[in-house]
Amino acid sequence: MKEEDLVRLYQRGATRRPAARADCVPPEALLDVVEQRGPEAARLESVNHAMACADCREELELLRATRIVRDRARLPRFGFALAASLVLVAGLSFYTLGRNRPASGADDDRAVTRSGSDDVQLITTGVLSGQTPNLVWRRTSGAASYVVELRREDGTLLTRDTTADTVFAVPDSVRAGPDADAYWAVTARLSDGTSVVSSVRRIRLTP
Amino acid sequence: MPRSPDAVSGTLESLLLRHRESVLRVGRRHGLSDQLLDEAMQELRIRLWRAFPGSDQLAAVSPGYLYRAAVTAALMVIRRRRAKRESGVEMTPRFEETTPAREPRPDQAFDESELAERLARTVDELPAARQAVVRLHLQGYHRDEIARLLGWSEARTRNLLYRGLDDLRALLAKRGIGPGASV
Repeated sequence: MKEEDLVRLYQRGATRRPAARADCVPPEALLDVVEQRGPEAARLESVNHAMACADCREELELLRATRIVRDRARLPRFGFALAASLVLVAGLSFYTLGRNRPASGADDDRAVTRSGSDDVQLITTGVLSGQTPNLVWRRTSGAASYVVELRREDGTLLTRDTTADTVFAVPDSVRAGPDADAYWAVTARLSDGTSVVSSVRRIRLTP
Repeated sequence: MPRSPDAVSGTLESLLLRHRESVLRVGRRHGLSDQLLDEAMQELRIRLWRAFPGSDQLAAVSPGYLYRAAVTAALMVIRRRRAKRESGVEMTPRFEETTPAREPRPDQAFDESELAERLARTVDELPAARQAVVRLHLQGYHRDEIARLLGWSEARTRNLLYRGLDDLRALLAKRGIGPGASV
């Protein structure tokens, strides 16, 4: 059997996502792998599980992604500034290229999400109530749809919806209960496969 | 005097932008979904927003602090996702679960499924270290990524990978899954 067949068959077998996660390794064990803490035998066990479980592999990958921040923290001050600048320049280049790229043929490796751009401008400020339940933002050029998210201060997701409109009416159930602060943001999914994320805005929820 | 929320949010977004593109490019190769990453970034945003109400403070956040905050945000999102699964909350279907890349013939699909199952059982039999490096390799991790993740030298990683793949082929051959297996 050729190596590419082994790879394909193995990946086919490892795309299963368990219905329950009772047998999965705890998130802390996945973090131990990333930070190389604890006995090697335990870390190997976690890796072996994660490489056979699509959910744990994705979670390991999320934790591994934080390594980019950690590795940068090890650079000398000048090196950090330089590396950060390079990443920023690379991000801006992707932004410019994304604008000029034809709509077809965008693959995953080249797709890009741009964050904190003025391209998605949030309008609603202040208080959301029964009289004014709408979150409103400006239309983004090239947007096929928008993902709206509203979260509590502790990060709990209150509501998330996808719409082609630039208005989202927050359901009464979300505003029920005592007055509370929340945060909202909008991600514009563009027709060329890229995304633009708005800044985060604080809002007051009242029934 | 405290800055306006928009000034803080501009500083916060440029801080996150430094890392987001790199994370996306690296993470997507190994199955990290935009949805999970978006949730983690949002969690991190909120944490930083609450911890640093002024944009001047935010601009001076150390990379060490940012790393710990990113790890905490990632762990929080993972725990929340697991809790949702346990409580039976419907998860958004994933792309690979809703969009089959290519429909194989029914007989071919059965053969591949059976072979994939037998391959998985055979990999389980490898010693732990060889098993880990072989699994990572078969999942598409480069050798230097494997070495970094496991904290091994390049030479140790290479040796264990070659030996592990040899062991795997030998075990598969014993089960009649050799070079001639139809896949």
